[in-house]
Amino acid sequence: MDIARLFAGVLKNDRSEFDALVNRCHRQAYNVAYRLTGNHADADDLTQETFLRAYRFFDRYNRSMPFENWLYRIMSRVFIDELRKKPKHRIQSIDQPINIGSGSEREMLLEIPDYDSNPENALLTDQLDEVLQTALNSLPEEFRIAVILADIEGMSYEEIAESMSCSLGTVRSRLHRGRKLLRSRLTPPSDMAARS
Amino acid sequence: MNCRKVNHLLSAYMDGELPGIESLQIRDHLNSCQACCDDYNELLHMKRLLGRLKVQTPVHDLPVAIFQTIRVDSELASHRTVAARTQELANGLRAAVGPPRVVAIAICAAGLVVFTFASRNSDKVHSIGSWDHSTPPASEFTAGIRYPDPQRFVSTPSRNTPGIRTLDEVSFTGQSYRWPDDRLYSRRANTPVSTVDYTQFGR
Ligand SMILES: [Zn+2]
Repeated sequence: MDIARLFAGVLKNDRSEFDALVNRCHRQAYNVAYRLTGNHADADDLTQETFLRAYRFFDRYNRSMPFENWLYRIMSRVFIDELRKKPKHRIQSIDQPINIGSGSEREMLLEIPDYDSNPENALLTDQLDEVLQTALNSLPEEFRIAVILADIEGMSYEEIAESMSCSLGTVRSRLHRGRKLLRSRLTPPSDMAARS
Repeated sequence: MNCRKVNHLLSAYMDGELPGIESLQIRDHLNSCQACCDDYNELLHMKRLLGRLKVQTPVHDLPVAIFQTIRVDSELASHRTVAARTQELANGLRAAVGPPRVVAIAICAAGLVVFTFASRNSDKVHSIGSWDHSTPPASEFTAGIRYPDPQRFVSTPSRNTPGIRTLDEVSFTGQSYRWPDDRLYSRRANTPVSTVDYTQFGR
């Protein structure tokens, strides 16, 4: 009996299937990991740990579910577990908006470049990317995962519910609250006051 | 529908996740209420911003690193299993036999058998190679010495890391393991290194 194989729970056929899935999904998974963690080093760790666990439990993977959804379920868990392990993680106060200037300066920064004229090539500036990432980093983990899966991965509520092992109602409320928080983080207090 | 209720459903409306009737009610409300309409546009704007974020790509060959992580993990797992089995066997013997000296001999014998079995097994793919201790003598591998010659690292050809031949091409970030069999284990494959700090391996 092969001890290593027995322990890993992965048989030969599964192994080649798994390897193909790694090759197919690692870029997408990395991008999600980056948006969750906010930096390359943590994204790298998170992606590797996610695939490692996926490998260990590959015999339990139900093929009726898209692999990505199953992978994000693992990733969400690893992400939350790892964050809780760290004694201090950088969560800025939710009430405190990110300083990105105000008025026209802010309007300009938050503008989508060439959105209508050439949507294919419209990428956000590095500066805006950073501002949005900082705002994402400030969200509580569950809200952050929901927002990223919905708006960056473009997943449906049902898929998100599957990936986060929660109900549709929970997905709805996490997205609602997550987006509200995100917006408040991107809006200077003066604008908020003017609004209400 | 009042503004409060609409506001609560805007997010789901935007995602197209509301049932038809509710969706129509919201649309009607947005046509007639400027405040909610502004809210909606802002939500939509933010969703588009997020959708336009750059796709971040891995800074190194991620599949190679993942396969490496898995290989090392499987190797560690098999060693853990061997250790656990030896312990189990010892416990069983202690229960059956009793006297400590007999138990000690039995444990050694069982360990030897299991270890032989395991090392035959681990020759396949898991380690990335081993150190050639014939030259220089093993005494030079004392703690603290940086040993500069990557040629003395003899790599084990493997299915998943084809082409790794010298330590220059082997890469790792610091979490390394060394088993009594003198193979070098790397937890992750990230940054290329040209020298190895032997203090890590505690010989
Ligand atoms: Zn209204």
